[in-house]
Amino acid sequence: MANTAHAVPAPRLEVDTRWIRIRQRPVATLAIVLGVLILVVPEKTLATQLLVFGLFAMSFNMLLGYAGLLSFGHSTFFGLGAYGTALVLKWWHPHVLAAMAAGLVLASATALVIGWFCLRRRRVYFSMLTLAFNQMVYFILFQARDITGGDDGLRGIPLPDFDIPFIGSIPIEGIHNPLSFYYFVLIVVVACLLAIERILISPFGRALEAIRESEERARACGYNSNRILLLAFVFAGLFAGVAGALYALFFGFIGLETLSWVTAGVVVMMAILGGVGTLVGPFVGAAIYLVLQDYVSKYTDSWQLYAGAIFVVCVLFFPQGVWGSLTGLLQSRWVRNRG
Amino acid sequence: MAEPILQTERVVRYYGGVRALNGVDLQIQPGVLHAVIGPNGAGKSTLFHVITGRVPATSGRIWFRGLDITRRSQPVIAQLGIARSYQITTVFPKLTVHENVRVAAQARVSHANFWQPASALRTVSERADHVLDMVGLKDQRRLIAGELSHGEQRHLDIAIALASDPSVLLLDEPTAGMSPLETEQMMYLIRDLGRQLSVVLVEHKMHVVMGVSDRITVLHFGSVLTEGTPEEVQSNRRVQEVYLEGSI
Repeated sequence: MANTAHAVPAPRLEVDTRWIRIRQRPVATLAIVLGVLILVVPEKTLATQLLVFGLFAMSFNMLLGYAGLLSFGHSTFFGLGAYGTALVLKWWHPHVLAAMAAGLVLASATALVIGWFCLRRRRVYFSMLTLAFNQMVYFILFQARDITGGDDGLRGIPLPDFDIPFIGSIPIEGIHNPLSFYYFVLIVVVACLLAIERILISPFGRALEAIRESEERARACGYNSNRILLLAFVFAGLFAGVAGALYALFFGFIGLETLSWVTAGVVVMMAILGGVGTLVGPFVGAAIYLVLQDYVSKYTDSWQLYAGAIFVVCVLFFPQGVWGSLTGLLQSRWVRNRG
Repeated sequence: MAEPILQTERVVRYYGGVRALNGVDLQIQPGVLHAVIGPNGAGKSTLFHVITGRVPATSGRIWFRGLDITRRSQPVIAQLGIARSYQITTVFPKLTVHENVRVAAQARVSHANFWQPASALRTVSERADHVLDMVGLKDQRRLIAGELSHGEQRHLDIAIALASDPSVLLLDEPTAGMSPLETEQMMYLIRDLGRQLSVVLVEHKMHVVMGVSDRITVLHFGSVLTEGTPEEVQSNRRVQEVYLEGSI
């Protein structure tokens, strides 16, 4: 139609639907790979850590990749999930899942309040507000020594066996049963990833993408962008809270660094390294970051120098991240040329 | 005459100290293609902003189907059934053409549904296909919106507005930046739309305005100069003077 005005219509690329179908269900594939791989990988602790931070990075990606919001305070919810779970376990010794539920309720309720304030603004002002709230929560927990242990950290978090009514209990304490703890974490993480996937392909997830592309146009279509972004912020806080809860169970000890701005920066790096806006990219980014940290720190203390260099190369030459570039490459093999 | 579907009553809008709209009275009859014309700075775009709730009116009232929408927010007004296109193309550039229209069609159906795949909303997807067919972008449905030609993007901009099945469509200079051939195609589309719903058209190209409109309102410095049929407006002395001033 309008092309007739041009002398030569440029050839255009069209994505094959087969590729779209493969790309739509990456979590199930990921779950199987992770479930089998652990049997041959010797570093069970590293693998568990990878799951926890993979989930954390994917929760962050809901904001940066799908809503287009850059939060510099996402560790707030990771840390609150960890502290909430740990304190409830310490005080009342409930079922593990009940303690985790307490952690994620604390994280998401805080996300609701913080998100409401931060979403009054956009772009760099939003980012600065998330950072400011992160600092405030950090210092509240720092000051509340009697409860949180302050900068000494919270020690001696008990991890009871995982009770399944009528069936029995499974010991999941991480140090003595690394494999069963790994599978416990894997089940929780995969359940969260499936939920995140579900949310992102839902009408709500699509609206989120529309807002990222043009908030003005999305509002003119009838989307209440503030409400939708706030819901996304709460979801991101909730899943970060689950990751934090798993972190607390894993180490049996948590420090204030779980909600420091350094941790908030690390999750930005992980997500960008793997590729924001893709479903499993941030998970891959977290894996690369942690494996790098594990191996390079064996040889040198200044491993962050190398991590930084890799990050720079990544942002300059692969702005879509490792996963984003890889799928882009695979996709181009599935693409047909249309004249 | 029938009850107007959209009506503004002495609408005033200031930008800082500048009066962009100076008490505009406008009545849009249902099913009518109503053009709003006037020299640059007459307040046409501001009028659209105020009607759609993009910026609030400083004073005055706006009625839609007998409902006072003056203080309603932009999303609420869109939900009620007023849609607009943009003078500067505003689409969702990284989404596919189909998804651009589908997500717009979804807005009035599903607000915060996060437990169902978006593809499960069949009627929404069908609506998107139907609208793409209307504007002639059926074959481009799987392309990325940002890669379309300028003319195609202008059509997509209108398709997004149409997607939610509005009762009033505000078109803000739909032929902006278009070649004569593209303009002609757009004219067919506008005429087509005018038969299906109430359309308010802001347009600079006079042959387009005269070719498609049922009624014309002339704005000048934020006030209504005159209103009438294309013939009446064309023969109006004051309109001729205003446009003569503007062309120098």
